Amino acid sequence: MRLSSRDKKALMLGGLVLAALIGLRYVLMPLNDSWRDARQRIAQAGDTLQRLQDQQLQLRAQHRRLMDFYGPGLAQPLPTAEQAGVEFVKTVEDLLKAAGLGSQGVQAQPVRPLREVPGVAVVGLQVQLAGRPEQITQCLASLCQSRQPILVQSLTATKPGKDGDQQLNVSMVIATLARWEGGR
Amino acid sequence: MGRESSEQRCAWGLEIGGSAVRLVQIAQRDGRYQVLRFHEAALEERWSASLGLREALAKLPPPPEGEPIVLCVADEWVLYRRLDLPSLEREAMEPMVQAQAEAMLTLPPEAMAYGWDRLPAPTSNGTQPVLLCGARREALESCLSAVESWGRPMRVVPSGVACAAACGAILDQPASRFVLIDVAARHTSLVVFHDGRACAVGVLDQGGDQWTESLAQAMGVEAEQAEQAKLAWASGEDSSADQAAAMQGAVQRWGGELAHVYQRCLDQIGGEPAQACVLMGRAARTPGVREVVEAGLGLRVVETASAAGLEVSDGWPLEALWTPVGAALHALAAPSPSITLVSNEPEVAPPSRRAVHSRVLALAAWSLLALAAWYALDMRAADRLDAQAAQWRAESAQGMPAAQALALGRYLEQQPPPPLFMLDELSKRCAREVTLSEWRYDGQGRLRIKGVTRGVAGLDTTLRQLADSPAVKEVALRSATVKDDVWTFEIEMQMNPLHRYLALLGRPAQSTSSDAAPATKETP
Repeated sequence: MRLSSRDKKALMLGGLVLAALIGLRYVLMPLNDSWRDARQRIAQAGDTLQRLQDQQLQLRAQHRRLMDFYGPGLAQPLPTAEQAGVEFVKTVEDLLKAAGLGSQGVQAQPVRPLREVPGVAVVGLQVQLAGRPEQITQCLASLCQSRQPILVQSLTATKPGKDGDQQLNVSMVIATLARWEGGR
Repeated sequence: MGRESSEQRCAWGLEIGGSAVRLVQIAQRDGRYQVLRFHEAALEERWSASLGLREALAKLPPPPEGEPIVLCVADEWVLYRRLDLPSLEREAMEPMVQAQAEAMLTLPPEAMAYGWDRLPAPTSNGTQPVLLCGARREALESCLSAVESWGRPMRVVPSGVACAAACGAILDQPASRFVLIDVAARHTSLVVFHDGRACAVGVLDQGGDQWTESLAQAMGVEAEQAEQAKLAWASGEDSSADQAAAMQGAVQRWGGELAHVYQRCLDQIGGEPAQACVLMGRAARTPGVREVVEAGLGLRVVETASAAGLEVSDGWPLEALWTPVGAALHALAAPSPSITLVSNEPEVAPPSRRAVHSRVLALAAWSLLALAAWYALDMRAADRLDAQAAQWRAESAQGMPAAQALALGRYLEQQPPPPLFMLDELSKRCAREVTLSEWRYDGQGRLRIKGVTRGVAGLDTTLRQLADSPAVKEVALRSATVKDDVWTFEIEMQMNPLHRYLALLGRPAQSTSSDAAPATKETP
């Protein structure tokens, strides 16, 4: 079959249009989608990084403010409740010993998740002790600079003796922070 | 084109005429022209079969490199024809002109050389007048080969075209329509100008040499002797009556033929006669020529002793300069008409289709490459930022997530100051005579203290100072009993949250959602 030049031109034009359509469908459009996706990813990652950076700045400022009240342990990762419980007893005993206080009883409290901060729990101890006021003060100061952040949940100090007796009986519930993993 | 030196452009024109070769150098500056150099060498053997062209050219100094040169050949080698063709694009007219050239020259295409240009169309009747010039390629190439030793590329233009270019560019126009008649040795060119542009060209194959031959026949001598006698007669020396009659007869016959040529030119351009005539060429100085032209053509002859647009040194014959100056003008720019018969100049060919395609493809390839690079850079940036964010998240996950840490911090800032700070406040705010016996902190921010003091002033002072404490939000006296001026009391305080305590101390914490009150102490 012989084709005229007009037929050849028509065939060539049709082929070009077909090739252009195939290229559009299978090359250009996927490429465009991929590119648009990449641009979105860039924008999202930029936003995320900015947000994370802002959070880091806020955290550092927050830690600086709270450091005087809760000690350097606040910046450390939170341990699990079990780890915190074991460590906390030892920390408290060390603190009392350092303050020259004799413990009259240390009793663990149930681990209680913090309603205000999901994923965080408090591991508490009830501590009974007796000592002179300066010893108590030193103990309270040590609580603020402990290697674990310590919250004083309640405290009762009474002076059982007569006027001349400086001895104080103290009962307090103190707690540290731990990672709460849903009761496990 | 041309060497530029402080806006001066120089070019050369070489004329190979019937009796001599002439070389001029012209300079163009500020729209005016100046003839810088003029050399002429006679063709000694022009009466023989060989012209002695190489010998004559050897007497001329070769032009320097860098200055363009155009060669013009005598019109006796060239055929002119004026055509009226449909007004089309030049490319479309080219085949028509070529067919006319083949018909005019009756030569195979490879043996002929032709050139053409549009002429001004006095009437707009849809046709385009065209001036077609043709010659034997062999003759033109022999001229080019004669100057091959100069080692310069050059174009070849017909003398009539060169002369017309010079006349159109330089000569003071004597009238809106006038005729230029260049009387050369072996031919006479006639160009009709209309509004400063050549619109018709005619060539008569008779010139000064024909008059010499007539004189030689009348005297029965050789051509060289007859030439001497003709020059003597032209310069006014005594001549015999026979010689004078022979010369006048020859000039009269020439005039009659020229009138036919002029009439044919007029027929081509509509028949309107010219108003004046300019005579050029040395033979035009022959006595009787001017009168014959005025009588035969009915034209007023205008003197061309000088040209306003051309500066010529004294002593150089202006009538011999027109044609080579016209050739040099072709070298400077393309005057109208611009007709090149042959050329050995390297052609600056327009880019071929293939070259255009290559450029388009290269452009497309570069564009695609740039696009691909842009795409790759974006993909890389997206991956890098994703990885950074993931790494940051992973680092945060090793400790506490940042959001959780912030929430915990806010929780701690909502708590009252630790007991150490409460104790510190109590020691600073309680009056000196107050002795505390008990204090209870319930973990909800409430602090109860019990104590005794002598006199009510101590209690009052203590209450006021506690109310001023930044750690204390509210102060209330719960109970007070007195016995022998010893007051036993119980005070309850609601402690401020930590962030408010810090704010009142002058160390503002970040604002929290639950407390945006101004950091001022309310006195209860």
